[in-house]
Amino acid sequence: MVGHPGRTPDTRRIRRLKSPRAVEVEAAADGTPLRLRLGNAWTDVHLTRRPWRIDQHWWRGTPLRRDYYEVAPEDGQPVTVYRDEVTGEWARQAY
Amino acid sequence: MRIAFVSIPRFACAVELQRQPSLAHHALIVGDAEQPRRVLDCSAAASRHGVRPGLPIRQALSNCPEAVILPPDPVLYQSKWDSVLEALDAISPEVEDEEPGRAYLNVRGLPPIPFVLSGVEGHQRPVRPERSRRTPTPPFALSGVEGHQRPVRPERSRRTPTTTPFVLSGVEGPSGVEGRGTPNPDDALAAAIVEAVLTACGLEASVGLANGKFAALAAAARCRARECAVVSPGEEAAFLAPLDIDLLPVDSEIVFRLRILGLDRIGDVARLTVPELQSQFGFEGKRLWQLTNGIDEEPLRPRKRTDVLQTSVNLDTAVAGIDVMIAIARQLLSRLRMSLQGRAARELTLQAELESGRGWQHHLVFREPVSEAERLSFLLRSALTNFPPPQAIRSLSLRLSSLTGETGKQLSLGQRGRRQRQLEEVIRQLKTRYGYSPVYRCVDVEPWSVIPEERQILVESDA
Repeated sequence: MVGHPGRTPDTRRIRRLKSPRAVEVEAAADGTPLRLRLGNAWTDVHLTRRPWRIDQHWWRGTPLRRDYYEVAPEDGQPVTVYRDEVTGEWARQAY
Repeated sequence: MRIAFVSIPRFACAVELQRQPSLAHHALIVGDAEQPRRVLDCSAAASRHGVRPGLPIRQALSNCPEAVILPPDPVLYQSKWDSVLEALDAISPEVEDEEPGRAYLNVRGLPPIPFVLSGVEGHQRPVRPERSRRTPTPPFALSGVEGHQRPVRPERSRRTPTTTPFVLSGVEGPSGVEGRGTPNPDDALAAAIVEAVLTACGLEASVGLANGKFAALAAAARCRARECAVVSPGEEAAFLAPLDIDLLPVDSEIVFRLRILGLDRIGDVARLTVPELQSQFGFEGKRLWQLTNGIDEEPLRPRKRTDVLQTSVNLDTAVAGIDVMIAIARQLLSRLRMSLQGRAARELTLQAELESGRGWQHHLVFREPVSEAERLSFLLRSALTNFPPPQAIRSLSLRLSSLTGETGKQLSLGQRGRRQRQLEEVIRQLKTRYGYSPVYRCVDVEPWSVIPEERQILVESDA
């Protein structure tokens, strides 16, 4: 029999808001997204504001470098996507 | 985390068969007593005809006309399951009660349960060694082997699994135990759990032991009754790979889509990448990848021990009148009033033994804790008047649970305070009913952070 840890485990469930979701992107040579896969279909997109970069946690040894782009389809709402410079993967995220 | 999963499939049917073994050769349907009447549980024979839990009884009968329909006996089912949980509590301090017939145990750090061999060849009765103070459960015993400490897999038999466990190890299949130099403590532990369940309630369980809940569940799913399977640490992915995706604890829609994609085996899904799965299934994609690769981070949620006040009365003759039942219930309540000692109860359960010998139960969850005798008496009367037992009763039992300390009510003048209080009460009520709060609260963690996912989190609200 293992000893009781002497504390009640906090079983409350926790979720992150605005967690990134993987997305497929076709980008230009400079990294600007050209096409985005929304649902099952590929959609042409254009930039709606200047890209911005986040470079954080380099001091922790697990650096987080992302290039964010706000893009919009021809007749749709803007979507924020980013390219992870460490892994090279694209993700969609509410900013 | 090392997890053992205990499974007694078709629990209600198993209990009914134990009570009436003559029904073993019939297709069984345990019907829900509430309207509309639906199938609560069914035997394997009935399910082969398309009967499944939740199906209306009328439709179930048209699918399987020869089925025997039994009214449910929730009191007996719960009593049997409680005895199983108590037996599991003696093995591990952390037991998650998922539902009757399904429980998880945290078996990390448990002391090894010794393999004991009988020294007589051909002797089929297990020999029990002296009980250890630290291992209250019956130790695992092997017999039929001449010699002493080297376990040799005996002849397999469903009837005597105590002496002939069917043990899988990793992906080695049923012969995993054979030829090992020293016995694996996990094998002994899993077999001891099977034995403990059998001793506690007489029902035959299957047990899976692995790292993570899903692998343990999958291991148990491969076993027959009174068998156990152990997946060695690190071999979860290889063990899961050949299994069907129906085992995955994900939405049925996801399983359906995986089949359309031609991914019928867990190993097929495991070969995909996280982004590929996320692009198809969103948030669930990553979890799907982890599960199929043998990574299961879902924590074990141990059941809570709560104070319970209970009293009962046996009647000389069966009582059918509601007014008489109410009077008896009030008498029981007056017995509990002294023990309540100013505390308040959140839940009230009435149980009765019907004239037919079956059980009846009615469970109430209050909007707020109640301590006043008059209020409890009124609630008892309402419960018995609105949901009377279907037959005359031979005994009645009253249980007050989820006891709290003395409560005071801070009244406020404003409308906002009243609404806040009502909201908190509703959340507490939901949490009491479901065991967790389905309401989440948004909490600022680092609202200044430039990384969006670090700014806020959603925490299950406990009011």
